[in-house]
Amino acid sequence: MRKKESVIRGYLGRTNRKVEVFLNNRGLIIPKVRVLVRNQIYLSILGMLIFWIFFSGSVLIGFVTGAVLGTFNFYFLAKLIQELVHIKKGAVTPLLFSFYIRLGLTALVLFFSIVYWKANIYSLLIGLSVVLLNVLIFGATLVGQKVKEA
Amino acid sequence: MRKTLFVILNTMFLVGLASVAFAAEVAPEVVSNIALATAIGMGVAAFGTGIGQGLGLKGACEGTARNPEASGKITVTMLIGLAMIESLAIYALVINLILLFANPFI
Repeated sequence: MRKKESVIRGYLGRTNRKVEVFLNNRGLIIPKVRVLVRNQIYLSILGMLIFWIFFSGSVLIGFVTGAVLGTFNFYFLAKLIQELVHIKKGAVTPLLFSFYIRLGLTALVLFFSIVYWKANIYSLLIGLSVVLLNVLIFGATLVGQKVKEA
Repeated sequence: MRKTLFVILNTMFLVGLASVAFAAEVAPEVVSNIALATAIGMGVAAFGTGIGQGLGLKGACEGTARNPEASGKITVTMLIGLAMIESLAIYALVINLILLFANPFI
């Protein structure tokens, strides 16, 4: 049983490392930001799998659209904030311009998913809420750490 | 590139508006009221989001200026805050899109 557990942990650790190296190569240099984005990707994939097993049609489309949109939004927001606050290199105007392009694209995808793809609204909102769930989980782990330190 | 982007966005906007314009069975007062409600709703959401994100950015800039070494921690906290605030605006956008283009009551 313990051997099985250690095998699973090793596999998870290797996957985490691979994902984090991938994110690091894409410019997410702060470890906690990388962990946040990594967890967001994991939660989205987990949610998509659960919805794929139990639902189909417009409900699945809604969740997948929401989760993918939330994940991309979060990833690009993380990159933008890191470049603005931490790295402080390069011109600020293109960064802010990309911020608005991102918002416009989000609105466009939401428009298409609601009007043309007929996505289920509740599942779309659940998909978009994966970001919030991720942030809440991260916050809960931080609270745990502070209690331990005290 | 820029011209093409403008043409594409304009076309999408007009195609989107067509569904509202050709909704013949709905009374025009209802359509205009819905349009007004969505405009006000999105305006209020953008107002609140703008204030919230602006305050967050202000705090982050001040914190980084005072203590540049803490920029990593500030970035993480700011990312969390901005993601939460922005999701509220996206929720408002979803509700407004539903009201405009996929209204269940009309």
